[in-house]
Amino acid sequence: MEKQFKHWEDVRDLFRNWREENCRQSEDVVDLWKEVLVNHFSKLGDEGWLVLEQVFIAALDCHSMEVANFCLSKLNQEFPDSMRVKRLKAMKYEALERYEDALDILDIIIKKDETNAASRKRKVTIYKSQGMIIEAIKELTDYLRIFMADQEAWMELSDLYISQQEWNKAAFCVEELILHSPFNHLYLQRYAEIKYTQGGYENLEVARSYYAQAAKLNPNNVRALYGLLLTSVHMASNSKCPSQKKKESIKLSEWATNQLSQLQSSNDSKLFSSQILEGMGNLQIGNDAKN
Amino acid sequence: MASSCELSKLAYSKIILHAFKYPHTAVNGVLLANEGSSNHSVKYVDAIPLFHHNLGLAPMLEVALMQIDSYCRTAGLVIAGYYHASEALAEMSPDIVSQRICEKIAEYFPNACLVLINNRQLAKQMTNTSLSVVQYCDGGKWKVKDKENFKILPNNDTALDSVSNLLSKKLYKKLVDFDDHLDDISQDWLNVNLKSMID
Repeated sequence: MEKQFKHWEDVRDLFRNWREENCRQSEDVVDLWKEVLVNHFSKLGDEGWLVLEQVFIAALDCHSMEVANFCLSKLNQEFPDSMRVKRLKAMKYEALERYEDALDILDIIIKKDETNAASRKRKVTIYKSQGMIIEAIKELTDYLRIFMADQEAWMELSDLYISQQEWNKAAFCVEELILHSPFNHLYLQRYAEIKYTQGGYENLEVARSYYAQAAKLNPNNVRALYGLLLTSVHMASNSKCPSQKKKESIKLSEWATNQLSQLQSSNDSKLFSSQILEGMGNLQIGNDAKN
Repeated sequence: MASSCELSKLAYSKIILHAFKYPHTAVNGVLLANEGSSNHSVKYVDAIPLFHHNLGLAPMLEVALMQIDSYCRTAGLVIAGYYHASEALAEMSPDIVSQRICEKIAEYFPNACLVLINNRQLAKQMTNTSLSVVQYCDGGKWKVKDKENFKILPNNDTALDSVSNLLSKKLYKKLVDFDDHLDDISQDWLNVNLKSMID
């Protein structure tokens, strides 16, 4: 944040924006709070409690325990019996690496209210912070049996499986996401990435299809375009590929290269990347390359 | 077997800035050395920050390595090492993804080094290099490099002061990694502008 003295209303609006978009701008939140908003807290009204929660979490992220404690005590004063505030207390213990204390609080909350989704998810993060990925996966799969529509959770589970190189399971999670939102180009691209990483000619074909669909839905998705180029080139140079598909692949790789070149030139970039696109497009397609 | 390993101020700064830019995720990148470097004393002259999302997925890694390789050929450099900062605070050993990538690098540059960031030692005022280095040896073994055989140029203290200065100016916000470039193709993963600020 370059502006020295932002008007407090601007800061309040900015915070609102970040809350809605779930942005993780922790450093900026804490700095702006300290510089501007803390002095105008009384003017915020009911929104002030949301702001306190936001600043609290940002402060934990930056390990500004003073700010965090200030926010928490204010919230505790106003909402003494709140489960939501209790969960924030558990997050504070997490930040202090007092994992047992955090788990105790979360278990109490879950016992009182079995539908409390957020607390269950905090348990997953506690395991993840300690590097206990297997336990985190188990906790998250149990959670998803109950809360099947939680897309954020499916995405997180997919990431956990990727870190364990369990490609089939990771792909399954993304399939759930695609079922929820079949036109989300990011899910399609992610699926393609997993399939490509898994390896093998069949997975390569699948990856190419998903990259193609993602690029069709959003021709500005650079990862999808590069992915399409990569998969097409690999397929075309693979001996298992029938000639019909080879021709298809060559056309697709040319299209992807064109799209990428257009994106590069629209930014008037003299970056290195634009030069090498020619190199990638010129990869030997006719001969059976090393793959 | 390489006996000493040096990191230029530029490479070291980029590594630390990358970790600071994305403190909540794992980050990784490759290290570049001059072409024709001997295996007896590797000097890493530059670092290219790669990703902060899904480090374990192959396609974008391949695209990045192809582009970096292409750049290296024009600049007389070679991909000779790899750095990694784990997502979890306490994690201190290289995970399977880092090992695989470094093994791949070692096929072209024997005895490539894997530089791990010690998250706990990072601070706004750096007092410790916060790095540990393991080296890939023939036969698939990883050998930990002692502190005496690993240093930052021109010397550790100067480098630490320089990096602390960069951190206080929040220059990590200006660092561009390959993921940033893929999100916005106008961003320069070579960080040419940043280089002048670091030197």
